[in-house]
Amino acid sequence: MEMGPMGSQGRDIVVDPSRCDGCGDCIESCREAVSSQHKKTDALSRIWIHDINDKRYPMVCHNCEQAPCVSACMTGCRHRMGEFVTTDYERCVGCSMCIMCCPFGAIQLVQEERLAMKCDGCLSYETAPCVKACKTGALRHVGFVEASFENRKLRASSLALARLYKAGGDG
Amino acid sequence: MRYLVIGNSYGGLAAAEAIRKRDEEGEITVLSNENHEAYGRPLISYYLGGEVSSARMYYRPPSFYRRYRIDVRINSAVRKVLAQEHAVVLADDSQLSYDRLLVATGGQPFVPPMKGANARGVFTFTTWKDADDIKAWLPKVKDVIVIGGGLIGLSAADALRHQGGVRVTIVEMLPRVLGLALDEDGSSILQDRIEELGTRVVTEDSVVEIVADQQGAVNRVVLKSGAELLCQMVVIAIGVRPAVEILKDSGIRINRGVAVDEHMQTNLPDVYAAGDVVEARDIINEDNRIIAILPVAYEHGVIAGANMSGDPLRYPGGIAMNSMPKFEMSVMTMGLTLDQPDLEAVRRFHGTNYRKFLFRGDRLVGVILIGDTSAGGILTSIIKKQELLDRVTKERIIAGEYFSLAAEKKVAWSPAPERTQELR
Ligand SMILES: Cc1cc2nc3c(=O)[nH]c(=O)nc-3n(C[C@H](O)[C@H](O)[C@H](O)COP(=O)(O)OP(=O)(O)OC[C@H]3O[C@@H](n4cnc5c(N)ncnc54)[C@H](O)[C@@H]3O)c2cc1C
Ligand code: SF4
Ligand code: SF4
Repeated sequence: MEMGPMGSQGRDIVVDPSRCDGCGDCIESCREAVSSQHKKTDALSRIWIHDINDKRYPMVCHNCEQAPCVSACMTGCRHRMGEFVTTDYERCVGCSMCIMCCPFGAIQLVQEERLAMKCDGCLSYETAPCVKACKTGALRHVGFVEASFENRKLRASSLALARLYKAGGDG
Repeated sequence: MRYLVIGNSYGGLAAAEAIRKRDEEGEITVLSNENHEAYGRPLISYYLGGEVSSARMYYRPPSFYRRYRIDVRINSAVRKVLAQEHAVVLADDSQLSYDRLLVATGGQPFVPPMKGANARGVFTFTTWKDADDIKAWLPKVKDVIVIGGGLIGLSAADALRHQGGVRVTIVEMLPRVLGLALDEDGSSILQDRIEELGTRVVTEDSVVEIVADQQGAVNRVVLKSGAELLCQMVVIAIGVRPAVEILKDSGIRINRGVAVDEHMQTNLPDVYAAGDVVEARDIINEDNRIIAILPVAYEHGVIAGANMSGDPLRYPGGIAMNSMPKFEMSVMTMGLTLDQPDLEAVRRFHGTNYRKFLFRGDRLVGVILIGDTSAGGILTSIIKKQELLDRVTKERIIAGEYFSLAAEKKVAWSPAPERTQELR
């Protein structure tokens, strides 16, 4: 049953690391898009690229179904809107409960602002700026039903690559 | 179906939301004995400290109860649960009946028997009203004694030190502050900071008596050591106990908290429980116990609500943890944090940063992070999973390279939104 005031946004951002060449265009576009939310400090990107064993891994909020960050949010400012996990930064107090619970390290405490910031999906854009900026197709939009399928497909294709690192939660 | 929820906070509301997602028709009533709609309980310290206005205290937007068609009744204390009759008795002796009941009454502050505890100027600190009462009394205050150096005591002390001209002294019975969550190294880093910021800390001592003046207002406290400290306010923050009085004689099984199974169901089939009032599964200790933190309360609520509306989800269990950015210092503790003979402890100090990892064999069972707490959730999820870690993974964790674990995991273990993964 749909409860979100904006209704279903119908899209998620999926990441295909095998296509990422590490150009960083997504990072720049993210910084620009979120800069108005930073009052006391330079804007920080909410997507990062990790370099591990010569492979690039773009990292961004995964929009978990039963999101641990939402369960843990003491103010209720981190919440589900439509199908996206988004944030009302007016109410965030930077308590970091959500950071302690996000299995992906997708939330960043911006000390100066006392805010815990993450990718909120840029729902006001038809295409999120990072997705628009990505030339290789490593970042894509898919619908939510599709996202489940896409994620599983990606998971299957990357099992060989994932080798050792079995640690961690399911998100 | 008539659902009745006692407690309008994290546990109760998570359940109400979970019920409404599954049952569009049922009647949901939520009762609270407080005089506000749901608010962020830990926010009372931010509110007292002047960081959060009353308008920003509320946990859900004003339209919430209407959108979820929840009949919320504040100022409605339940006096007694009559489980045989499937009804509860309210303070005004009226009765409300239910088909399914959720007990999410949380904790109530523990006040030890102590002479003078009823003097004016003595407060507990667990509700918005407490914060308002403290605010109202503050103009009379130069010195405050906070009894208890745990999470709630430190929250109170941190808020009070922001009041111009107020001197705060924390009296803690244990040898150190946050003694149940932090080891000696961690505590001493935190305590140094607390004292640096002008708050006094007295450890290994306790208040045995509160002495009032002729008007009945607090004048000083007497410590076990014999010392006497002048003060015009005392905040008792020793801890909370499960709020179970209303369940007396109801037939609902209670140990320290309400006993539940993995569906958050009590021994009575139509009665469920969630939150601080409950003893539920602890993943690390492999038993059922009270874990009085809000993420756990919320997750209990989700499971309880799902089960109440016929969706038999299981609670995978939780771990004790906390994040406390108080006294200008970030502290996170997850799982076990104190040394034990069967655990391997690894400590890392970098300037003012402290990281401690506790392993039981090849499993990560606990972490302390002080200073740099970024991406702590990756460690939380590793602890919750209780998987065997190989040597490389262990080394990466200790080296603080856990980001890489999540990055690769994100590919390999991306959480497809499947119903079976309702939690985590
Ligand atoms: C100062 C402070 C700081 C905290 N900081 C943190 C923190 O940083 N992180 C964290 O995870 N947790 C923190 N906590 C703990 C956290 O607030 C609790 O774990 C959480 O609120 C538990 O939720 P709950 O739904 O079980 O119960 P509660 O939030 O305790 O709510 C229970 C509700 O039930 C109502 N109720 C009780 N009895 C009756 C009755 N007979 N009739 C009607 N209504 C009744 C109460 O009025 C209350 O509204 C803090 C607590 C305090 C007090
Ligand atoms: S837990 Fe982390 S990855 Fe999941 S929705 Fe929240 S911020 Fe995003
Ligand atoms: S830091 Fe902000 S978003 Fe995170 S739990 Fe606290 S209030 Fe919620």
